[in-house]
Amino acid sequence: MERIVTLGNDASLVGIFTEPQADHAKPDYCVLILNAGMVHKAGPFRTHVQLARHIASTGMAAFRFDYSGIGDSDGKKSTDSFEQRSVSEINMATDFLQQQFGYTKFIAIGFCSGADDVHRAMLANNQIVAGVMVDGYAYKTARYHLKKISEKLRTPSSWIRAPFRILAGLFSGGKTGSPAEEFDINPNFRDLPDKGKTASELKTMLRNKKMLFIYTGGLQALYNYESQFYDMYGLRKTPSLELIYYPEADHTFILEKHRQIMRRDISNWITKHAV
Amino acid sequence: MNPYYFSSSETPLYGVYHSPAQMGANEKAILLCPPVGQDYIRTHRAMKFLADQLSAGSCHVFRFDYFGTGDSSGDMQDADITVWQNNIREAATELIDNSGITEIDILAVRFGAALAASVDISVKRFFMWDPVFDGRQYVEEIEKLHTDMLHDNDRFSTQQTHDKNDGHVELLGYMYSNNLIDAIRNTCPENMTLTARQYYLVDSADSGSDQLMRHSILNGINKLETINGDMPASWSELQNLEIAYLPFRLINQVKEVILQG
Repeated sequence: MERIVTLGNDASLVGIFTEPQADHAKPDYCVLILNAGMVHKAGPFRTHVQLARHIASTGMAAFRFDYSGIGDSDGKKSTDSFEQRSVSEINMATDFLQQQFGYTKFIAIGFCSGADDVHRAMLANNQIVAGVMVDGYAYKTARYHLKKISEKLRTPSSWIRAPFRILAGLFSGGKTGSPAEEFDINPNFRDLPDKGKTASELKTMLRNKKMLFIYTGGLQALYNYESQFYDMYGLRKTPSLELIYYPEADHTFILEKHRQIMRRDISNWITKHAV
Repeated sequence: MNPYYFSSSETPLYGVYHSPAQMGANEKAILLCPPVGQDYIRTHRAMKFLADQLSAGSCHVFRFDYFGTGDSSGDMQDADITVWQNNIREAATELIDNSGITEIDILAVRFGAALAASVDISVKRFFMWDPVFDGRQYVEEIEKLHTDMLHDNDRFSTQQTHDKNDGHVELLGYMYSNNLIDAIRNTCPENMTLTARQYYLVDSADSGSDQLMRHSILNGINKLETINGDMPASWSELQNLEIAYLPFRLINQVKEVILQG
């Protein structure tokens, strides 16, 4: 069962709470599904609706909502950056879910720019104990470049092919001005932070939080082999850190067969490792 | 703005009522009928923006998601045209109940226009935004886009195949039942009940793909005006598949006509 909820100081943020089905296995935990770029809370190709319902079927609550200025949530004129505002609104959501339903621990899931939001929110919010980041930050490594060169030598035509389009750009209006601009959301808002800073933050968070990183073949311009994540940060698989690579899937999971696998893997990881 | 579920408790539909900022003698009520499939995602922001603009004036606005789409209950693969047509009737009733206005306007986009035009409800003004009148051509277009998408090397790093699903067709991110696809294919002007008192054709700059069918249906309408936009929607172009359609100038033109009429 799903409920529409409004939250925030003026109830201007709109979200959908998906109740866990009968066997409420983990009464303390709720899963948050964050906006992917400018797509509203249903998600690209309804991915977020399907994921929330799947998670609820395993006995865990899920909440998906729109940041201010996205989807059904009203825009706010604020001097805060989008990065500051998204973290602040995620905090509003966890406060609301605790007050309203009693949840004290949260698992945040984000795709593309939503993965960046998960990273920032986990740093700022102690109640977010685990995160799933799909096509999050990616930094090229020496092995990445070697693989790229070897591919180009094999297929010369790839030299002239632009292989990657960033989701944030895909969902912006762009041509005649857009709500993104109106609400101070940079449509190309995937600024890549300094790698050393990201690595340091990850190592800090891994002391007491659990993380699943997923990368797709759709990110091939930045990420082109399975273990690149570990090479980027000098990390390795631990009970708190897991990596899944889907070379066949595209960045927005347009095919149902890829969405099914992704839903299954995220749900299994949450059930077995995050809680 | 008030989001709430309506229709039955078993299959609730997500709806949003925008009450007007200015009440008085000039109040109007308009129902926004979205398109389906990827067109829905592309236009979602534009519909919210239009609803905000209209309700900042004297207009009651109700927008909603069909069964199996957006934030409504159900799965797309269980949807059919009869259900969606009934959803429009129920949404119209919500608008009438919220506004107290019985003579409503409708603005419907793409295939939403074909759906709304085939529902027997009393409409004062009908705004058809890049309407789909030729269901066969529409399905052919999204089938071609889907095939092109599967072979798009910018999207996939490995070769993808068009998987056969028993009883369903996968097109551009959504699963349609064979029955639904057949019904969409059979959409044509003969199935439509065009009884509104006034029609407006809202045209993006490149909405010419449906011209023949459009002429055949619009020639039978006496009171028709056109509102022309200057920005292409690129409904049939792969590179625009995931780009939001936000024609602000056209939205403002439409808003002016709706509020002034």
